[in-house]
Amino acid sequence: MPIKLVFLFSLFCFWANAQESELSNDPHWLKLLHYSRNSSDIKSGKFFISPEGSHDPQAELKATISRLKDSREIYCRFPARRAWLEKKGIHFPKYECLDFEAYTRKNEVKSISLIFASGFLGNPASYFGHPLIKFNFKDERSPLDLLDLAINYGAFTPQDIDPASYMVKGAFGGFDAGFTTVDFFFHKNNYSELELRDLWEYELNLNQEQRDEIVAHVWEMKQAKITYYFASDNCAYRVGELLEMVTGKSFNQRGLPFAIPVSLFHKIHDYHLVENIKLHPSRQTRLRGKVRTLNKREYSVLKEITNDIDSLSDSGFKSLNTEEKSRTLETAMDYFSYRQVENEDPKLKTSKRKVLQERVKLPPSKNQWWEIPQRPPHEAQKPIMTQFSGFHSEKFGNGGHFRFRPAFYDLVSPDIARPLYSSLSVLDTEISVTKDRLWLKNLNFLSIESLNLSKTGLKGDGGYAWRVLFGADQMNLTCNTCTVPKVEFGVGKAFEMSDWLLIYAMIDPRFQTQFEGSGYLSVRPNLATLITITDDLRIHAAAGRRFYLDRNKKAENIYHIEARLGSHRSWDIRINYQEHIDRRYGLGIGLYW
Amino acid sequence: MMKKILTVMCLVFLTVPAFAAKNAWRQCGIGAAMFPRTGWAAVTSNIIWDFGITASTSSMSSESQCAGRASTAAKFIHQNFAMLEEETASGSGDHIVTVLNILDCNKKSHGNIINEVRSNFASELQQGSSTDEAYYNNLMNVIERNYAAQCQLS
Repeated sequence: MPIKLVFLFSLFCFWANAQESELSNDPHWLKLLHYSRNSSDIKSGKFFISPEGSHDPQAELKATISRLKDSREIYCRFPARRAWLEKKGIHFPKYECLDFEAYTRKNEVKSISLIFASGFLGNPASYFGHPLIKFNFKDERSPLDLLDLAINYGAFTPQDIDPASYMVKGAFGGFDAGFTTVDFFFHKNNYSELELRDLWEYELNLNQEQRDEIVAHVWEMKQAKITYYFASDNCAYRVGELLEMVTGKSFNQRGLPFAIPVSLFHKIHDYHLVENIKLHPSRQTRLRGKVRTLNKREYSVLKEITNDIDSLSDSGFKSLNTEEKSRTLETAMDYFSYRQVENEDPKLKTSKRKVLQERVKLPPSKNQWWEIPQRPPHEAQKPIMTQFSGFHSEKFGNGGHFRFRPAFYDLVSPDIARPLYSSLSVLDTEISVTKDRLWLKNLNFLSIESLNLSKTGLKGDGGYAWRVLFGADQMNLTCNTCTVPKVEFGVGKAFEMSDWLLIYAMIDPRFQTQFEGSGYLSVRPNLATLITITDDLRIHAAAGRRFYLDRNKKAENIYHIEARLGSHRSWDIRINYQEHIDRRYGLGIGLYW
Repeated sequence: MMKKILTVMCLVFLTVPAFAAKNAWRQCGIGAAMFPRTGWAAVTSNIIWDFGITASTSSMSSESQCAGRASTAAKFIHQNFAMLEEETASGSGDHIVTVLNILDCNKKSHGNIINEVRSNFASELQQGSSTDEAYYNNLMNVIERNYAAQCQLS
C-alpha cells in the first residue's frame, strides 16, 4: 500500500511539474512577463514575484500560483496573470481589490480605443506621431469623452537634462520607460491645444475578455520599467506588444530595428479591429474650419482684428449684426490661442482678453462650424518604402535603381494625417546599378522640409518654408564614385495659388566635403512647384542653379521633376526626370509596408 | 443648551462640504507644482512630457486630500482653462457641460449656472482678474449660493 501511495504521489508530482513546465513555456505566459529570447525586458524587480522571475518563467509561474492563493496584495497586483491562470483551470480564493476596482471604475470600461497623435515637426521626438490607449467608460458625463482614462507609454526623463544628453540617451537606451495613466483631458489639452496636433481615435472591436486583459495588464505594468530606445523599443513597439498579446495578431515586425506608430493603425485596420474612427481636431484645424465658415464681411473684419485689436471699436466690426459678430469673435479667440502656442508676446494674451470681453457682451449662442474633411491615418501610404525603378542616363545608358526608405513621406506623397506640404525622410537610401557598375546615389540620414503655408491668410499663420538635410549624394549625375557627405539648409517662401497649384522659392546653402575642386560651400537658389491634379496624380518640379562659393568652379543648373501616379496605401508609380550636367529619366514602382 | 449644540452641529455639517470644495484648489496643489513646466523641451516631446505626467503625480498632494468631485473639477478647470474661458464667453460648450457633470449638477440647472458664471466672468475680464483659480471660485460660489441642491460638490 505505501509503495502504491508513493508511486501515485510521484506520478502526481511529475504531472504537476509537467503542467507547470508546459504553462511556463506558453507564449501567452511569456508575453505577460514580457520575455524576449531568454529573459524579460522588464527591469523593475517589483514586477516579479520570484527572485529568478526575470529569467526563469517557470520559477515565476510557481511563485505566482503559490502567492495568488495566499496573498491579497499579489492577488490584486496581478489580475491579468490571475485571469489567464484561471482560464487554464487553476483556481484561487477570491479577494476584494478596491484599488483595482477604483481604477476600472467598477468594471465600467465599455471599449478601448487606440489614438494616433499626428506628427509634429516642431520636435524631433514627435516627428512620427504617437499612439495612446484610451479606456472608454460607460460614464456619459463628458460629451468629448474627456473623463476617460488615457494610457501612455513613454520615457521618464530628468527635469534638468540638456538637449544633447536627451537625444543620445533617447536613442541609445539611457532612459527608463513605462506606462502611465492619466485623465484623457490632460493629453487632449497637451496635444490638441498646446502642440496643435490632431488626435485620431480608433475604437477597437475587442471582445470582453480581450478588453479585460488589456485593462488588467496595464494595471500590472504600473510599476514596470523598461529601457527606452527611441527607434526600436518605443511607444509603438510596446503598444503593439499589448495588442499582440490579446489578439494573437502580429503588430511588431520582427527583425526591423525600428517601430513606427502609424503602422499600428494600418494593422488594426488590416486586421478588421476597428469599430469606429473619430477625429479630435487640434486648435489649428478648428481655426481653419472656422475661417472657412465666415462670410466675406466677417472674414474681412477678422483680418482687421487680427492685425490690430483696437479695430474692435471701428465701424467695420460695429457694422456686423449680432450673429456675425459672434462668429467673428469666436474665430478670433481660436486665432489668438493658436498664435500664443508659438509666440509668447503678451499682446496676444491681451488681445484674446479683449475678444472675450466683446463676446461676453453678446447673447449666448451656439454656432455651427465647417469641419474640414480629413482622412484618417490608415488611409495614408504605409510608412516604409521600397522602390524598384528602371532608368536611362545619357552617360550610363540603361540601368536599375533601388530605393529603401524606412520612414516616412515626401512632398509628392498623399497629404493624409500629416503636416500639410511637408516631407520627412529617414535613412533614405538609393542605389543605382548598370551592367558594369553599382553605386550609392544618395544616402539621406534625415531630411525634413516644411512649406509652412498659411491656411487662413491671417497674420502669423504660416511663415518661411524651410528644409534641413543630413546625408550624402552624388556631386552630379555624370559620376558614380563621387558621393560626398553634405549638410543642407534651406529657407524660402511658399504661395498657394489655388487648391491644386503651389509655388515656392528657396535658397539652399550646402556644406560638403571637397570633391574635384568643388570647395566646401555652395548655395542653390531654386524655384519649385507642387501641382496636385487629382488624388492620384501629383507633380513636384524644381529648377535651380548651384553656385560654388569658396572655389572658382563654374555654376551648374539642376532640374528635377517627379510625378506620383496612384494613391494606394501599398503602392504607387513614380516617374522622374533629373538634370545635373547629365540627364536621367526614371520610371519605378514604390511598394509601401 | 441642546438647541445651541444642534445649531452649531448643523452649521458645521452645512459648511464643511462647502469649505472643502472651495479649498480643493489649494489642497490639490493646483497652480503650484502640479503641472510643472519641463524646461527647454516644455511639453512638446513625447519623451519629455511623460516626465511631466510623472512629476505631476509625484508632486501632487496625497490622493485623499485631492479626491472628490470638487477636486476633479479643480484639476479639469486648471487644465482646460483656455477652452472654458472661450465657452463661457460664448455661453455654451462641451467643456462647461463636463465640469457641471463632474459636479453632478442637474441638467436643468446648467443654463442658469452658466449664465451666472458668465456674468461674473464678464466682471473678472473687465477687471483683468480672470484666472483659472478665479474661475473655479466663481463656479463654486455660484453653485453653493444658488444651486447647492442641484449639484454634489463633495
